[in-house]
Amino acid sequence: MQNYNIIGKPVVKINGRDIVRGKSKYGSDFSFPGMLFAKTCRCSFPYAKVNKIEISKAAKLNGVVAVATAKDIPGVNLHGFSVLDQPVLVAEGETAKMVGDPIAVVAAVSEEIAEQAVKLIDIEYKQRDPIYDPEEVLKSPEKYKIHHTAFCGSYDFEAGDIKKGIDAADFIVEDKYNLPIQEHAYIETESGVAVPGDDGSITIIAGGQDPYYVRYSIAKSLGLKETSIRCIIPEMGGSFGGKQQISVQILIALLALKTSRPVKMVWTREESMLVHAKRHPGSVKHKFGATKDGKITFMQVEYLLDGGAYGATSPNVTFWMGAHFAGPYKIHNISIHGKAVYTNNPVSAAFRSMGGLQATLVTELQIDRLAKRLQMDPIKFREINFLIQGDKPVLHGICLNDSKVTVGEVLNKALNRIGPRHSVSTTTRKMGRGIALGMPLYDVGGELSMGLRGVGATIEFFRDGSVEVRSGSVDMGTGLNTVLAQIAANEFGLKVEDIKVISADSQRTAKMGRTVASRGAYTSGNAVIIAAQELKKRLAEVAAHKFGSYPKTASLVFSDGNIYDSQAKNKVISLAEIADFCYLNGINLVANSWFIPDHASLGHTFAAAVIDVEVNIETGETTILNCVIAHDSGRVLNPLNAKAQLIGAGIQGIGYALMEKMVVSEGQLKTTTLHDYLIPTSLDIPKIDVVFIEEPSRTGPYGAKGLGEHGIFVTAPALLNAIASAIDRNVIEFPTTPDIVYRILKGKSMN
Amino acid sequence: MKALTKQNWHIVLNGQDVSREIEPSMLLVDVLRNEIGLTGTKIGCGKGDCGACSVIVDGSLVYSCLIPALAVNGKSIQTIEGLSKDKDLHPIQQAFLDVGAVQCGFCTPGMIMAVKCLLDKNPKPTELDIREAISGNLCRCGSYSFIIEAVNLITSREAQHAKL
Amino acid sequence: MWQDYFTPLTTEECLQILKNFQGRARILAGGTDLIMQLKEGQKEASCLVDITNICDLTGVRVEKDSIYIGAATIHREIAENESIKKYVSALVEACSVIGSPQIRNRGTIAGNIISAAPAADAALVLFALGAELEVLTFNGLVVIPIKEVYEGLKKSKIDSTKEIVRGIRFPIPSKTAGTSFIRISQRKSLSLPVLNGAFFVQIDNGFFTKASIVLAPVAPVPINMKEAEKALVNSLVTYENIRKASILASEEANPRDSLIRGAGEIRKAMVKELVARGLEIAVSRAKQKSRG
Repeated sequence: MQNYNIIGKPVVKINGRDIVRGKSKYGSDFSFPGMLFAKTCRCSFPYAKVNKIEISKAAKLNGVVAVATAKDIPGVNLHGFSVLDQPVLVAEGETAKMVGDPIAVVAAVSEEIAEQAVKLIDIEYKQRDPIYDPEEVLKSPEKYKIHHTAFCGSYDFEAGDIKKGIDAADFIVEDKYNLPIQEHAYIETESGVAVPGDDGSITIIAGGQDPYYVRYSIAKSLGLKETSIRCIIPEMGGSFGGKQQISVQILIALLALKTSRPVKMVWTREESMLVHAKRHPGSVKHKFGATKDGKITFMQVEYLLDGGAYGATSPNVTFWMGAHFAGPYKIHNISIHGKAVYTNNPVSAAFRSMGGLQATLVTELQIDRLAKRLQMDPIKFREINFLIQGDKPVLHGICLNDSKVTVGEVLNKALNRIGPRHSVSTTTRKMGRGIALGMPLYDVGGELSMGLRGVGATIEFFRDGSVEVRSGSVDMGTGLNTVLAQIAANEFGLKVEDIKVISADSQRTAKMGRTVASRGAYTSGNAVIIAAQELKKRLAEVAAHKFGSYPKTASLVFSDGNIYDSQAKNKVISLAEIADFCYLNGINLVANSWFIPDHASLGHTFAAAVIDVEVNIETGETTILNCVIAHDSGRVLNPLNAKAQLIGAGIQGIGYALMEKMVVSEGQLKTTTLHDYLIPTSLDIPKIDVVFIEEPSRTGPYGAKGLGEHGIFVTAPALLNAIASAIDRNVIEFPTTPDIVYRILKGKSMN
Repeated sequence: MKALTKQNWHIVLNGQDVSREIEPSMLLVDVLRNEIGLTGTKIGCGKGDCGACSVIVDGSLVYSCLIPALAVNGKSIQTIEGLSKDKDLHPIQQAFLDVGAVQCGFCTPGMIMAVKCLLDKNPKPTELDIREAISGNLCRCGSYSFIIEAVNLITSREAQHAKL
Repeated sequence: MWQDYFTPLTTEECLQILKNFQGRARILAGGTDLIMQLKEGQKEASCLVDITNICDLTGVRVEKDSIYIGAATIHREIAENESIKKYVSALVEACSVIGSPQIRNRGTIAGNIISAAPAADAALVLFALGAELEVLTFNGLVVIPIKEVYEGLKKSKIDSTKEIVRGIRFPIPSKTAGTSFIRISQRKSLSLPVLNGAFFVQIDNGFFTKASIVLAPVAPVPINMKEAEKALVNSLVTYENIRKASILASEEANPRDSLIRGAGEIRKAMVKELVARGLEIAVSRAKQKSRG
């Protein structure tokens, strides 16, 4: 692997200085003269026709400047990324389909007054019979459909002969796994400001994962041209897939245009938890068989996801989930069928790994159970069935096989790092080790999702030699902008500090699509390299002219802010000088790139986790002792960021398996605070060790692969396998809160 | 609604005297963010569940979203903005950057204040001390172990500094 | 929301304000519960009376036979207090796990009781110790046993618009006594317990002479496991007797089904383990103390 000065180095975040000094601005930190504050009036029923909306009392309240309802929306009163079915505001005569559906918005001179005004809005409802159970919908889709169809996602894949596979199996494990909801619980709730311009234009500053989608949605709903809308994604306090959907943006734009004043909206924690789309709950029926010598003979999966009231990205999640069941294993006879249905529950959509976690988790638990039945070491059982170099992954022939790394290598690295187990069980404290493997995908080509294909980037040299990189991608805390600066700095032989990165500003940055599916560094990184190389070509030609060696540029090197000729070291010219020359002589200092890969649309990587736990069998409490994540990351562009991504995702996986319990009962959210919905604290998580397997990919920027989501795939199943091994029971139910572990303990043992 | 009578309020904020007339119903976090314009102190939940609003009052770490501003009248308040002057970073801030303890950064000001409070009282904390000290601050990006590393870096830098 | 805010320096001044406002003023100490309740409209007050500047209300004092804790003493101070560490380990443990460092830096011992949350950690220990509250009312000082303070779920007999808790007093556990506190929770900080329990035993000549087992949240208020306590007193200190008491406690406890905390039936079963472990720790501490 080639070495670089900047690539692969622990470069400190370029926005870090502002963050640690409290100077960074997030959506709620902006204020403008004359700014108003907005609050939303929401439906409190899971399924109810809105007969009448009475806003006059609210409008008359002192300090209220505007109250808007669906009547004020001139364009299409709908939004939704993959399925356009979610009302911006539920209109009179229309039916609200979930608790929290927005019905009216108020802009007032203070947040308190806006809140009071919301309480003064009278709405007359006619409640309808809600449907909460996806199984019922699946049984009678016509009867229970709440949209024109009952379904918002499906996946079907078959290969080989399932019947033959079942017949060939000596052992079969079969079970139904229920999947809990997971809440993103980013510490920053949704927030933003809309600022109207004098010319009918509007600027929206709000968190999101795709400014272009936000711009398009606002234009459609408010009957504007996209050219009059500017969407800027400011510093973001986390997203993890949760801020992909429209949140405050259309509503504040509507109010800002109506009042001709800046309007700010900040969601309360309760509002955030209720309204934004969460990880799909659902169920998986998983049947899995092997011969007694450990060869998997078949896998048969049926899954059902609860999409909640609106489609959002359910189709994508349903696909992504189906594509992950087979994992890194050779399975010749396979049948995977999945559906997502609408219910009157809160909306579900993408959450880091979108379905990949759920699929990997069930398969990995089933593998351990099957190994137990075979009385075979779970590692050995996995090894027998590994995909090896040259094998086509079962489910996605389209998948990019991009480096020589094998899953066995990844697992071994994890096992070597964690080392032997030190703790021994006592009568009340049981020790267990769990492993899990996954084959997380990442988006490289964008063919599988609307609008993701085609990623632009711009690099501009200014006359004084300073450099700006403009990318439509969103740095939602991942450090992506720092990585893009590293790439540009590396290409031009500059320092990271010399590169200014402008990202996710729909007026200044070219379209990137969504920053999702672990694609940011891969796609935008490649786009920046392409733009840099084009610009370098021009600058080098100018240098060659100056050196008198034109058209020969092959020996020219970009280094330390200069271009020099490696064959004639006295020939040196600074980039600033060249930029000035270009500026004065009509040479374009702007390079635009457009990255569309000519290869497959999905890349894959391998991930492994090994976790040691101690379970207190008196209290059901689990303590994690050790955790290692190994990942086939390709070249790591920035080890600080990459480590943080894998560990951060890994912790979210642990939270999902161990404690995160979102309770919804009859369409009502019961866990509306961060002391009811629990995410891990500093006392719950041990130090997590990360092992990178750095075998460069052929197509990523400098050989990088996607990794933003990949830690989450494996920690959750590794933890559950560790608990199962500690207490010698099957663990089907999770999160494994103390009461659940206690109940499992009182059940039957695994044998 | 009765018109609110404002009350005099005087604090020492990041070492500077600050006097204001404030409404009695205002919470400390709102005064800091909206009246004084120090938006480094964040609001993540408004209920004392997340720690993003943590500030130091007379040497002790508190949730500024649960404290009426008048409750700190006459006291000394430290917020994230008070840690560094101009361009120089405080050693805690520098260490957070160096080890990569900053992801989305929304919890960072609160975390830094928690670490500040810890180190002011206990310059050589154990790993458990550090975990305890930041256990009232949630980080969804999962930076806890990086923060521990940052604190260890600070103590080792200080030890080195003392040797020189 | 409140429109007035007072910071009296004496309890007399404080009572006078309460009197003047005729029920519209409310005592505020740490505010870790109250501010939320006011924000969300669960409680009302047009005036807050901040008692944290009244010096008499803070601190721990060891008296002849008892320990006195000022009402506005914060949890952290109690957890760090040498006398509390010496005499009541359980109170140290309870005060060290409440909420988070920030909560323990603001929340007060009396607040923990007055909020009447069913599983308030510190209050549970005070329950087990048989603490009494000194309450200043318009008609003078009254002393109320902690058990009488709880009237129901989050309902306290203490009316903070009319009276003010001055302090809490409980007998110093004898040399042959031990205490413990156990909490099972879904995460290790900032969380409410699935179950918690405070234990107090006194052992003389190998027999339990006193026993107090207080559990939560297994009822709207913390409760003593009376049958289990009865079975212990005058019985020999043996593993079997502890086990027996824990089974009785499990039968007696009646936790309800909670979507967040878990099924009542499971938590009821868990009571058995919790009580056995809590008693074992309390017993070993009692033995250690009497030896040392």
